[in-house]
Amino acid sequence: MEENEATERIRYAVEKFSDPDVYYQVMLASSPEIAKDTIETLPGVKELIELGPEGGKAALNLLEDETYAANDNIASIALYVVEQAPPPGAKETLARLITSNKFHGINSQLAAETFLHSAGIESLEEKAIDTAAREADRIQAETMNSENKQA
Amino acid sequence: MPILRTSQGRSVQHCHVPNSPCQPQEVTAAQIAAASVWLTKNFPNTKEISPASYRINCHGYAYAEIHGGWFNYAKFFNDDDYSVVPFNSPQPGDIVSYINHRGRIAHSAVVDRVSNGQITRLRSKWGGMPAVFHELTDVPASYGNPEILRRQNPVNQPA
Repeated sequence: MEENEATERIRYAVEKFSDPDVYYQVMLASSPEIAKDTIETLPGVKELIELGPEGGKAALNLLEDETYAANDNIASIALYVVEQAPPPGAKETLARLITSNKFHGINSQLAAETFLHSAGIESLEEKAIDTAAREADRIQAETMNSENKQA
Repeated sequence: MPILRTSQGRSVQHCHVPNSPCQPQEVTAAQIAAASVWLTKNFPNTKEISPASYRINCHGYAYAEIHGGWFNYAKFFNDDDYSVVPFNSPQPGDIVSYINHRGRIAHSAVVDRVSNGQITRLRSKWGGMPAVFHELTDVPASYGNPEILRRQNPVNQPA
């Protein structure tokens, strides 16, 4: 895919995710599982996932951008895309965001599952949040140690 | 994690704001107003009962309204305390399960009015959005179709 086409797809997806008519669909969901079922049908999601890690990276960028991340519904969409198309660095970024307590409500579960998937860690659904919190702490500590050694 | 048990003694997992994994705070006033605008625009035939809130979701509203809370699943309630009844014999208080494109229960709604054997009005809480009165199929497409009707089992009375 040409760079221009990928850029255009990302622009289209972010524009859609920012549309209240789109992101309010997520707020209608009563569970993380149903939220995922809903998100997979939203405009822009399939287009971003089809880009692979590049699309996942665009979603990960949304989670790090306070403008978008402050909206729980947009964050839900971004987490789903990252889970489906994990980019390099997803594990470390999500570990940092989880240890910073950035996710709440339905997103607690979505972030836990996305992080565990990117880290290659298996967990029962009902234990995902606790497992992710523990593993995120460990990975965040490793990342900080590594950065300190390099400094 | 708070405990609510079915008649068979099974604990049904749920949470209450502000305790994890629920939201740490309620929906803001601005979000409440925006949600009402969205509802009026997209579902003009519904009538809002209560504003957007993270304190209760559809399953909590349908199966545990007095207790409140956010329930991810209705399975234990359905298995232990409710029975499936024919869709052509609804009664007020019955619960309709909506099945989505993945075959999962995406929504629960309480039958509010019945006329000539037909459900004419339901009430339900739309996730974190408002609770509304609505017609059977006047719901978000993501909820899927109304496929199962359930009725609460009679409570055993002491002899």
